[in-house]
Amino acid sequence: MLADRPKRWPLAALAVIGLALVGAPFAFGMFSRAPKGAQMITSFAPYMTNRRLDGFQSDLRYIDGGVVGGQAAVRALDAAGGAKATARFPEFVTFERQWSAIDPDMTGMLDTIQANVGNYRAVAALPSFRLFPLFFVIPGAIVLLLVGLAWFRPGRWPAIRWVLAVVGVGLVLAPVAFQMFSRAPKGARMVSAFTTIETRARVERIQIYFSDIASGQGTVELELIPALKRAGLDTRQIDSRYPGLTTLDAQWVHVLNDMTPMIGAMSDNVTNYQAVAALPSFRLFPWFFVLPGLVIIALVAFAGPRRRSDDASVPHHPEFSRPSTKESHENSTCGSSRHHHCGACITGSHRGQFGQCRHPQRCVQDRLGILFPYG
Amino acid sequence: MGEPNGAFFSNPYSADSNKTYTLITGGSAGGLRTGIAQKAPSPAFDAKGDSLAAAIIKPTNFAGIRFGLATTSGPAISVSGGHLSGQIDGLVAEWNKQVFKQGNSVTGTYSAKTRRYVLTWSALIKGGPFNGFTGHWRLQGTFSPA
Repeated sequence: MLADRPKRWPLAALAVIGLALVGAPFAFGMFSRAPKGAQMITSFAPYMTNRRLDGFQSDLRYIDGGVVGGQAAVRALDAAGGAKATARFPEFVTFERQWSAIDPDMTGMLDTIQANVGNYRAVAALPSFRLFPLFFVIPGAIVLLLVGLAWFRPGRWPAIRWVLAVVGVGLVLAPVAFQMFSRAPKGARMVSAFTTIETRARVERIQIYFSDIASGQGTVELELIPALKRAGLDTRQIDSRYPGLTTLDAQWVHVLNDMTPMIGAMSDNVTNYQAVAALPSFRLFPWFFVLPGLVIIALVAFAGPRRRSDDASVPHHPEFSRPSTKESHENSTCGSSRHHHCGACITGSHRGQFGQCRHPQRCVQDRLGILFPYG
Repeated sequence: MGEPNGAFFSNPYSADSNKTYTLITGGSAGGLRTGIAQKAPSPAFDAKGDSLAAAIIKPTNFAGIRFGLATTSGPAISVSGGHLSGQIDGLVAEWNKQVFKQGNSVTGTYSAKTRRYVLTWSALIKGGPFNGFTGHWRLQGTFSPA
């Protein structure tokens, strides 16, 4: 009868891999960070579409049109005489100055966000971030369990090694199945692009912009348009001469409806983004599966079996029973006082057909080299 | 409303000459009621985003959209020596289809003779577009026992 037993060092290495897989989510804080990432992806979903982002760009154009129209209106009111309009509408003058900084900043931010719509979609198409810690822990726990079983029940190693090989192959194939090699780098690009956007300081700046814009719009609606009416223009004439003013007036509620939830989503996800950014780079994630998977496969192959015969029923093959000169020498000492040369002979060898004492481990390795290329 | 940078939000639609103050008046229930919740109706907003919660205050224009107040639990306020103290934990401001918690501990004064009261409190907004802003509230009026 043959007893298949794994070598011990690959088993120990497999245990290390298992521990590393189980420990990685803890080391990277994934259990707290990954759900925040999932929350961020969900929160951004309504806004990360080209249609919605085009809408925000339109909102900015409405506001810009209002500023341009307001400038023209102020110049016209100046030309009409009376007190200098710039002195009569200090809030608008302030807003005009503020807008010159707000517009490029907000437009640039929206451009950056819009450039990352595809990257966002790629990340959103990955399995939920909430599952990522489990993608490490579950295979790691399986590996540890199987290693423990192999350690204490070495006779089951032939079956265990196949299960381990399946786990290894699963880890290698998972990133391929989830298209991580294409999606994860896109996620990394998005995380990198949002570095300057999803910060508390930036979000607060946008909140202040909102306050400035709201004040500016109020000036347009409550001061400039009434002043133009007092100057003799009716609504149709104002619309004709200063379309930006009336468009902003008409679209303002839509702008509020549109932009405030977005600002809220940005604000609410600052900490979520920071949690995601604190994870290892998304680019590395596919390799966090593939490398352990490959190592597991290799270790399973190296692990044996280390076959030990405990009776004389080893199938005979002339190739195996032909000892080398050295083996002949060692085998010739079998049973003699030189046990350190041929300990296996004492415990597990048999006397071959030609009367030589064969070294069983050597034979089995040779044979496995034919039957099981990995072994 | 205080901004995170220490400035105050200027509401151009405020009836006050100082636009950083937004004036409010009593709603259909006459004002804030203690002991019971004055919940928002359902739906709480119209299509524009104006609040339909009109019991405590008359919905008031804030930056182009009207906000209202509601309570999710009954305020508890006590008087001692002309001083008011208590909790309005469940107070919410509703604006633009969003709800902002604005409850907190309140303090104030009360005249037993005139039944006039003043309540003040502040509430930091957590989350949403006004995260980090602080609502500073002052309610004044006449107390009417139920």
